[in-house]
Amino acid sequence: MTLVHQDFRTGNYMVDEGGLTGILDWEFAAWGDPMSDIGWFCARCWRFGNDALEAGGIAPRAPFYRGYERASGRTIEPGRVAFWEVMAHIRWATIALQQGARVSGGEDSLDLALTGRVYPPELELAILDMTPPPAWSAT
Amino acid sequence: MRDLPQAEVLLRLARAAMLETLLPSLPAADRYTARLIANAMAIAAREMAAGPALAAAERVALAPLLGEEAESVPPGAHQSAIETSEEAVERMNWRLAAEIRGGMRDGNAAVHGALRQGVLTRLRETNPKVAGEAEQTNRPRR
Repeated sequence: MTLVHQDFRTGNYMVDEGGLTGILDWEFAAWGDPMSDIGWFCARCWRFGNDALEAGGIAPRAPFYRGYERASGRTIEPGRVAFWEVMAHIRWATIALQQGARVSGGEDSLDLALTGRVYPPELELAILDMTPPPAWSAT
Repeated sequence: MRDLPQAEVLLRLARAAMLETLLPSLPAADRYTARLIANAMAIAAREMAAGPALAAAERVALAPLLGEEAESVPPGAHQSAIETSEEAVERMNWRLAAEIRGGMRDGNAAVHGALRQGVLTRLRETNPKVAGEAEQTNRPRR
C-alpha cells in the first residue's frame, strides 16, 4: 500500500523543457496498490489516439517503466498493471455512465450528455477485447 | 400523416448547414462546441434511423443464451402485459449480469461474442468509424 494519485494520466501533469513541473487533480488520492497508478497512466483509453505509445500516449512503455523503477526503487509487476488497465476502462466507463445519468436527473449539459453516450460503448469494446473468454472467472 | 421530409432528414440538413455555413465564421473557442453539437445531432439521426430495431436485435441475440423464446407473448395477452423489446433487453441484461457475476458463465465464448456484437451495434450509432475498424479486424484490437 502506498499513497496513490488515482487520476495520474496525460492531461494531469505539467512539463516544460526541464521536465516535470507539476502534477494536478489530487482529489481522488488515497491509499492503494502503486500499480494502479501505472495501469491508469498506460491504459489505452488515456493515450489520446496515440495507441502505439503505451505510456500515456507520450512514450513507449519500456522507458517509462525503467524511469519509474529507477526513481521509486520499486519493481513494476506487469501482470498487476494489466489488471489495473482493465480496471481503468471499467472505472472510466462507470464515471461516463454516471455523468450521463446526471442529465437524466435534470442537469442539462451537452458535455455530460455526450460523455454518457459516446464513451461507454468504446470502453466496453476495449474491456471485452482485453478479457477474452479464457480470462473470464468470477472467482 | 406528417408532411415530408422527416426528422432524420431535417436533422441531417440542419447539421450540414451548421458545419458548412456557420462553423467557418465562428471564433476558434466556439468551434469545439459546434463540433459537440454536430456530434450530438449525428448520433440522434442515426438513432432515429435504427429505430426500435436495435433493441429487437439485442433481444434476439440474448434470448438463446438465456434459454428464452425471442418472442414470448402469451396468446390473448392484454397489450399492457406484453413486454416491449426495451423492457425485455433490460431484464435479460440484468439476468445475464447476475449469472456472469455468479460464475455461471465463466469462460463462455458465446456470451462474450453476444456482448461484443451488442457493443458493436451501439457503437455503430455513437461512433461508426471505430465500429467499422473493430468489425473489419473482427478480433481484439490490442
